[in-house]
Amino acid sequence: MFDLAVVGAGPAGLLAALIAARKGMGVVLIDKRRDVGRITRACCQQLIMDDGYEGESVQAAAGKISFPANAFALEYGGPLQATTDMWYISPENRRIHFTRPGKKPIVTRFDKGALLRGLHEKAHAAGVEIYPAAVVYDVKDYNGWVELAIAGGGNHSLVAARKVIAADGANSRTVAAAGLNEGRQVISTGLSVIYECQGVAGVDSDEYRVYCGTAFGSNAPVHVYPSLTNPGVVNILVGTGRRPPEIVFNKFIREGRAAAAFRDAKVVSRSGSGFRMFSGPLATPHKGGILAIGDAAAYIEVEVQGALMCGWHAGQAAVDEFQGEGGWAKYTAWWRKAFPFFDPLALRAIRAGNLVGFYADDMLDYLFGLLEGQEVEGSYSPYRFPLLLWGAVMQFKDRIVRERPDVWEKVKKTAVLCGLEAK
Amino acid sequence: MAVQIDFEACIACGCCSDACPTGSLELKGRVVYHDEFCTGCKACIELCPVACIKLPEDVKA
Repeated sequence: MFDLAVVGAGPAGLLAALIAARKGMGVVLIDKRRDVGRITRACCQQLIMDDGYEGESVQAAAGKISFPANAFALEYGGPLQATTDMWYISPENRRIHFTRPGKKPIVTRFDKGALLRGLHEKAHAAGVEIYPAAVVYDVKDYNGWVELAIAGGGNHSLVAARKVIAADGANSRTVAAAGLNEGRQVISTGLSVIYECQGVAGVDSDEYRVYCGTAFGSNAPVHVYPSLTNPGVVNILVGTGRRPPEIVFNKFIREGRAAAAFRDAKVVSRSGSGFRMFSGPLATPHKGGILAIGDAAAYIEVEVQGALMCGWHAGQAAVDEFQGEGGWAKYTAWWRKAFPFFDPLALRAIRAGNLVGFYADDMLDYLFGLLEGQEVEGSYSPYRFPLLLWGAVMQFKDRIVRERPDVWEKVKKTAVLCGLEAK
Repeated sequence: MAVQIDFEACIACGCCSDACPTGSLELKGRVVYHDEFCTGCKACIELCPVACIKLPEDVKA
């Protein structure tokens, strides 16, 4: 019997396992992948650099990623690339240029594989027992200990532990099997694929483009940014609901309004993810001996930085819970305070970030045209980006009312979501 | 019950093994499928981002 079983060796699970092991617990870490450092799934590989995002102001410098508000730092030996400029592009090629004052980075991209390999080595050295290539598909809580059913290599087996941390991501089976999802429903499914392409010219290493408009071939924004690790390779990220991403991608590079720049794109690699979207986060992410952390318990993705914070707090919480000192409750108090999806105003603001779904293409041309030529403060935070964008648009309120009353009717609704004055 | 996997299209992202309630789908560089445990619930089909998993009747259709 282990003291603690951690399910999922992403940033949250690895750090939780490492912290608990360093504090003397006997820990097993179970992951479906054979090689924990190999990223197979399309996912967040950048730090959002906004001050105060998720209650933290992450710092990235050579060799280290620091979390000053949470009082910890991690060694990281991989590459870092600051993105200081983002362009939002409309069908008629009207461009909004987003920057931050003093050219501070909007996001800092990093090599997630390198980060996970570093944590994996440390977890191994701290005595964490690692079961790779094993899927947890069932959980039973026997009031005092927990039994996990795992499948791997065509065989099924059982693992027993006093406490369990579920860190197996947005589609967590552990959370579902433990009965923690009661009270929240699956509201939709999202699909996204990152196509790594050669043969796309003119994307600089610090540049991030977002194509907005149905004329580009997608009903969601298409993100284009250079690869961090492969020179000459550009990543094209498409997201859809039920429509296969392959169809959207082919439209984007061959028929869409931006096709001229992408027609010669040759796909060298693809990674994808399908994810269930729930009606809300787990407000109480624990039940019996099981604690759910990171995206397994979230509503809006917590990103790698949020996952690391969850792992850091959960590792300590497991020790406290094991010793009967209410670790899960302490973790929960932090969880509800740190993440913006518990704030109704932040959730409302997110809905104002909906551009392609809500505004017709010609409206996007008009709105982007208003802001062309100036530098607008940018953010990659889904909670803060709409506030900055619509704050900038609202400087032109009188002109929009005069020139495009149809656009104003929509802007009014969007501005209200952001809490902006829109009489 | 059995699903069919198009291994040409599969990108081994592991979304299907996340979804599978019986542990029938395994990641081994590519996906390995153990049909003896499969109940045909279609959870893997729902979450596959490249639509490479299908039920046999849909493949024929």
